[in-house]
Amino acid sequence: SQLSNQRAAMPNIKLQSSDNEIFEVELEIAKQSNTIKTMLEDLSVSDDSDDPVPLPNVNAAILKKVIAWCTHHKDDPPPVEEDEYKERRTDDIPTWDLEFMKVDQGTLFEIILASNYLDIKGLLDVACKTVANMIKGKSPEEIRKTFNIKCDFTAEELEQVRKENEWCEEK
Amino acid sequence: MQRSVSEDILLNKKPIRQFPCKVVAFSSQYGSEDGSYSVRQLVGTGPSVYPRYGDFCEACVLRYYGPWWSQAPSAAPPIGTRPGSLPAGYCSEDFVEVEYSQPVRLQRIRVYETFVPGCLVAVFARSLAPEGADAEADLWHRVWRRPGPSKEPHASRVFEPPTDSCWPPVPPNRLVNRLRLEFNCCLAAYYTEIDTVELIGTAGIDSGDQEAAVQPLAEQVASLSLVDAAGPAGDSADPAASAGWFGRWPSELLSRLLGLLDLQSLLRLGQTCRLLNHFSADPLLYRSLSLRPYCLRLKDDHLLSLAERLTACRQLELSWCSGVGPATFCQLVNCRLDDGARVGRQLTALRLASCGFLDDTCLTAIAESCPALNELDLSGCNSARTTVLGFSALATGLRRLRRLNLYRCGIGLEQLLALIRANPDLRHVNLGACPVMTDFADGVVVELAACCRGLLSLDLWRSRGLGCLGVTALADGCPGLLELDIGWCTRVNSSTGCLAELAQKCRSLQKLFLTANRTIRDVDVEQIAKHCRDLRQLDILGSNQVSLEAVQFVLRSCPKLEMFDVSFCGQIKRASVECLKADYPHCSLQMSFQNQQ
Repeated sequence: SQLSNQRAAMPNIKLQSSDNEIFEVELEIAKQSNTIKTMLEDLSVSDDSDDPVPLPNVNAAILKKVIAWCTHHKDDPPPVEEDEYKERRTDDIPTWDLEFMKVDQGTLFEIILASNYLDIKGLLDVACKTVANMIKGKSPEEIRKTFNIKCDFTAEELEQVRKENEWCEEK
Repeated sequence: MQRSVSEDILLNKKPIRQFPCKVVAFSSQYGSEDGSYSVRQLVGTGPSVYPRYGDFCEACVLRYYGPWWSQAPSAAPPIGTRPGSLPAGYCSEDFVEVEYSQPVRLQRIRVYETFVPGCLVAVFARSLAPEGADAEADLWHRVWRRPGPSKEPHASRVFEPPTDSCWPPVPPNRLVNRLRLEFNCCLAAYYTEIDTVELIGTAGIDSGDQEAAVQPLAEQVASLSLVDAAGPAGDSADPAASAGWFGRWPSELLSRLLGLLDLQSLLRLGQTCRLLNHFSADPLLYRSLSLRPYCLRLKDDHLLSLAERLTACRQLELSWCSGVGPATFCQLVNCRLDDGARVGRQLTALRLASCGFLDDTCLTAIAESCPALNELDLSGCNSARTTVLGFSALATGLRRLRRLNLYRCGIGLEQLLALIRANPDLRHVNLGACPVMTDFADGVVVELAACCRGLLSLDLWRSRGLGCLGVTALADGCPGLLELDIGWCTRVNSSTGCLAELAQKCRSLQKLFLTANRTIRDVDVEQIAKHCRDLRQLDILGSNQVSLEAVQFVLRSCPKLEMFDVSFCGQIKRASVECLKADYPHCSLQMSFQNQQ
């Protein structure tokens, strides 16, 4: 009976990844995703339903990372919606998150796409800041190398782009 | 090939030692035009204070120091504060640019700092286009930038920034005849003073140097640029395919990321491929933009190529940008948008401090194209090319101003009065060291007090024409005043009771500068302390009639007082100030001094 009490306090739901793996997660943790929260509300999925919520855009490896992040941040205050163009710092990433983001680039970008799809603002924020910090202080060529970007300007365009921006270059 | 200094000596080319022959431009000064404590004090044949240390009128002194100005009610919110939007290490808040009569091959620069050293944060040198060379323009080189905050001893010194790592390097065929010093006085405990700046170098270029300079400068700069001309793919396929991971991102996600970048990173990312170039040009990323950190490199073409990104710009700072022409500025604010409106239409703040290019056409363009401005900074706008024509246009076009900075601005009396009448919502006004205030300050202040009753801050620094009439009008008209600077308004005679009346009526005052008033008595100070309990900053420098008891009364009565300048108050002894400092540790008690050693 003690076990059932705990269940009542913290009901779980099941999430299904694109590669059909099932994850059982505390409801409160899963609800950090606005997408899941809305799904549950709209579909009136009852809390003790055993049907998994399908997440066709997220594979198991990434979903596992996302759940780990949400579990660590379950007691965070709800994020405030900010103007996305308003200035924000990028040097304020908490230590745990810094460690969490130490993954290969493919994983990092998949986490960003997943947190965007799942609408988890805190995770998206910290992941974008991580990418921003990878861009900062690098030359265009270094940025290309870092992110595997191909220079698709013609020689003339490249020269024009360089000339237009030369004023902000300073070693 | 560039020869070293030691080779020059072997070749028996004797270095020339020079001191500035004129001041070209500057952002602020403590003194009056060309007088004591002015930037003009840099000009001369050598140091006039050094090696003495202390507060001397023969040195160049800037207008601000410490955190006080940025904490005062008049402090303007920063513009262009994208995260880390400033280039690494950039923290300049003031500058002085000086010229030397003999262009030289740069060898050494010696800055004579004679009071509160350590505010210098960057040094630049301008090299002249070589004679006969193709139109290679004059060029600025960054000589040195302070690597980080430093604590300097309280002693005079000759600071010699290293000159061997200029960027871009000074080619051997170019001679230097201008230096620019940039300062950040925010960390200084008091006004910093610079005696003079010495330029040392050898005159003339010999034929060897000329031949050595085979590589055109433009190429050298290009090769230094961090852009690598990686093999372009031509207009192949899909831009998203070139953009790597970013090509898979929805546009709102890209916008979110780009919104986290500082200006330089944003522009560099935009140079990597077409897709990111497109997204980095989103006008919403340039809503608040300061180009001041790039003032020495920004030219007409650059500003014009930015124009289409500024269609959503609300706050634009072009202060210190002297490499831009008036025609370009006009073209920018008049630039047509898709709906036929102009770029200037949505601007709410425009800062043009020390913009040497400003002329009547610019002022007219501001008046006609920027009706939404609620902030305008024209400090230092005083060239002969700004006349009655331009300034009177301002008054006809601008009606929503809340913040107006006309520090050292050459506006005439009638145009200033018209501008005040047209903008009754003015909250923060700076008329410091305005020539018009030398004779007509009372008339201007009476008008201001009558029209702008919501005035919160007023800077009348060195408004010599101000008298009791103006102060009384302010006391009657602007009861909500939070800040008043009437430093060096030496005609305000407190025996008329005008200062006591000000204190009785403007009880919200947080900052009051009565620097060098000299007529203040204990009764005035007591009235101020009694009525203005929110006072945070008080300057009574040079008040010989004020007693120690009155100073103590202020400290007891105003618990929020953070800064109190009692320099050169004859009755206040240094030892007493030291005791007070111990009793009131929350208040920064200032006491300047002259040391004859």
